[in-house]
Amino acid sequence: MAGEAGYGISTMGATFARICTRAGLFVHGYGEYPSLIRGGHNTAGVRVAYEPVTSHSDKIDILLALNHNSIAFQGPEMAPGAVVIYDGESLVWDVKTVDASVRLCDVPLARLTKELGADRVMRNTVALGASMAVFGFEFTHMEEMLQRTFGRKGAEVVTHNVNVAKAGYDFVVANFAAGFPLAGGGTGMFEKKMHPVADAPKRILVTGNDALALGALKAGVKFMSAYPMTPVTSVMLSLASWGTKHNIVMKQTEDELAAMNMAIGASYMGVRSLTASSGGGFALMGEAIGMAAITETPLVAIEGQRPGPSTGLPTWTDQADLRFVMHASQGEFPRMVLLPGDVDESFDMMLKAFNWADKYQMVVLVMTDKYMGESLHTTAPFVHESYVVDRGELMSMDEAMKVVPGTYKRYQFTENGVSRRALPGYPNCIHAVSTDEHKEDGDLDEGSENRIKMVDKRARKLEVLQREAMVANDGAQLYGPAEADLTIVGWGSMKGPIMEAMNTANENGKKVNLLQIKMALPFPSEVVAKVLSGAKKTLLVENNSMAQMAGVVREFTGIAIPNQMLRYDGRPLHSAEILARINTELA
Amino acid sequence: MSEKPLKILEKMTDLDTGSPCNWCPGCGDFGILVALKQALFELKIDPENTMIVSGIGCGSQAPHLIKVYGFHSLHGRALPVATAMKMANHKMNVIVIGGDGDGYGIGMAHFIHTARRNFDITYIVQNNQVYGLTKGQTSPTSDKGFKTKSTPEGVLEIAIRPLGVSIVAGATFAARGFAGDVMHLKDLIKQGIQHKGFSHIDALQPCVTFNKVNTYQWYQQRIYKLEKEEGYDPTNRAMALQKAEEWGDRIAVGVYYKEERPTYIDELPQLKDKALVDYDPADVDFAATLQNYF
Repeated sequence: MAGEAGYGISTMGATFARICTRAGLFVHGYGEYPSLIRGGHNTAGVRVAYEPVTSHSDKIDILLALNHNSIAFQGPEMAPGAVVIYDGESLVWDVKTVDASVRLCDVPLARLTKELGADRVMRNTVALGASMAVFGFEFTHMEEMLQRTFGRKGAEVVTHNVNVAKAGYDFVVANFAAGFPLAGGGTGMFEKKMHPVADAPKRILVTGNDALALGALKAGVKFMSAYPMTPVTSVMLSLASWGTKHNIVMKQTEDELAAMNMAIGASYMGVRSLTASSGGGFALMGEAIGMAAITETPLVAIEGQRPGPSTGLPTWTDQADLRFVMHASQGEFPRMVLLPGDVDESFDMMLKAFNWADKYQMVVLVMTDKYMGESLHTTAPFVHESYVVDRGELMSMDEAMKVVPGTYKRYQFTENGVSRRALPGYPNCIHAVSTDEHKEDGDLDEGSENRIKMVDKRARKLEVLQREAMVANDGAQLYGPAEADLTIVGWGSMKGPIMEAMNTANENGKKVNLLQIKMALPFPSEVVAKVLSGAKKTLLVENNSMAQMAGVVREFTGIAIPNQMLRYDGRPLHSAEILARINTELA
Repeated sequence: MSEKPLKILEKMTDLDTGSPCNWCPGCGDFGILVALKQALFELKIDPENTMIVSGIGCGSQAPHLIKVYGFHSLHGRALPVATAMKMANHKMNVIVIGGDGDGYGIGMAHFIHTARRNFDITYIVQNNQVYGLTKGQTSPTSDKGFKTKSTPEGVLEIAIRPLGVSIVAGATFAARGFAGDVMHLKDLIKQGIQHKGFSHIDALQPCVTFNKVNTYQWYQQRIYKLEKEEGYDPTNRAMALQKAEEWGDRIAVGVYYKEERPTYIDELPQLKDKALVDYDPADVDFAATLQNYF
């Protein structure tokens, strides 16, 4: 679906994706839009399949073209035999500019809308109805969706929407039952029609941001402070919408300085808290990250990457903030940097992030990017019943009542570096903490001996964490055959496109596997070293220009990955181009 | 969760921590510290239900010197930390303390936005018109022409009028005290703590080491009490703003402005039944919300 910004392109894409998901199909939805409210060129691409899909594609089978730019930009991307739906009464174009096999589906969208007395913006609904007919779905699937979307607004609104959609649907059925005219002459049917899957298990349709927000919700987040910034704004919007239902306070702040400081303040008080931003906002947050570290306040923050430096390409994607997030804030302190690779991992890692933050009283940073954060995926309902909230060494009020006054030490030296945590408002545990270096009781101390002990105490938490099995289990994952001719190394949103390319290659007799790195800190050195030292050939796939993960791998394992596939034009690498590279590597 | 038994201070020295203090002899911070402790004692505040948050600066050592819960945060960031603490557990008394560079310089954006949000917290600014901890540079409240190491030819900007800023931004209590008149300052702090809403107290505080102009004597020659000023009405916003502009031969101390407005917490339905911290994070009706994604 392509057209001018401000005309509901992304909503159309999401609606189409949800209809397909509810019909038992799998979708991957990826949208592109410039940093404008109105007037730029927007696209919403939805890939649909009977099997899970984890990548966008550079080929279009059905193009819904709402303006000239749609033909100019997306026309060349149409696959042989593709259908283009357009309104020939307002959009006059030269059909010779597209492949001769392209099927022309000329639907008078504006006229049909007008005849039904509907607002001009509802031509989207006519167009969606038309696309459903081309796609091969019964109209009932769309009708059900409209009922669901507009049901709250009353029967009249539902009926109106259904009539408008049906006008588009019926037009296609009435005029193109015998085939579509081809751009190069003659007629032809659309060969890639799809049908609903009966009795398919119910699935959810979520973006990566939805998954992060839902993870935070399940983990018991009660406070979020944030400043809007693409591509993670939808996380704060989700939490805001849940405010009264789930007793969550989402505070939009004056800037990201306040956002991070507030998240730390609320967390210090004992509430599971969250903040989120992209690189530019995260730069402001860097100041207070160190405060969370030295005060040992649990902190969970999301960093959603988009291309920099500075404002860069605000609405596009990349993976160039890895080093920045690993090192943000002055001084040395332990932190976790988690790299979920899809919606399921986004949900799962948020659950763990909150437990780890509490258990180790540590900064936990979760990275996503525009591609994963804003793309739609069909997946099985998130498994949440088994989640156990683990707040580590947090005392209860009853435990605090038994504390002998004057004995409590917030930063007591312990074997694993984690000290008992009493909350402000508890009896017998009065203490003051500082962003200055401090003694066990929290009071200021600049002495040499104390300083060394405190640095070591904080560092010990990461050592303990590193020893625990979770770094091995959650830090990296190998997919595909254990023995392979090519081992691809990737992280974050590149997991999906690589997996799809790998699977296709392996179905065609190649032997390729993927080592997905899921934690940058603590780094799963042992697992990565073991896999890479035994690999026949390696290829790093990353959405940046400096191969940052290759640098991190080398830093922690000493293993270099000189063979690299990098893309840094703000567009995510897709499975087809990765597959082509695999074929070249193994030729 | 069980309720904590109320703890009542028997004597003011119960608020002493015994921590060494790093202020210069004669520093105005001592007067402010004593006034704050006396105010807490006289109000019979439960120290276990009280949180003092500071920024960074000489005076920001205060949380280590008063035996209540304390958080010594970052330069300029005490207000966002403190207001989030209030949102997380609004049963706590939250008091913020910091210097003029902290609140009116690097933290100015937070100061303005905190004022308009009207959180029920008290913000005491130790205003000495100079940067002391970094050894004598200009501050946002330094008077035009004031010579410091960073402004050897004199400050070129005009000074911030902090009470004007907070009143315009929406503070519902704005007052000015003087570290050289502890009893008067204590009364202002008590009123500020008792006020339901954001109370801003600008505490004039001589820096005996780096400000040789605005000395105790300099202030004493200029200060007068607003409450003794005939016809002054602190509920009159226009009058308050006019008074906030006054600086020079006469400097007023007392309550400049006061109004009643619902606090931020009052208007959050989420906090009606209990504090955020009292909700069990394991008790979330997740399945119902997940339904929206099918």
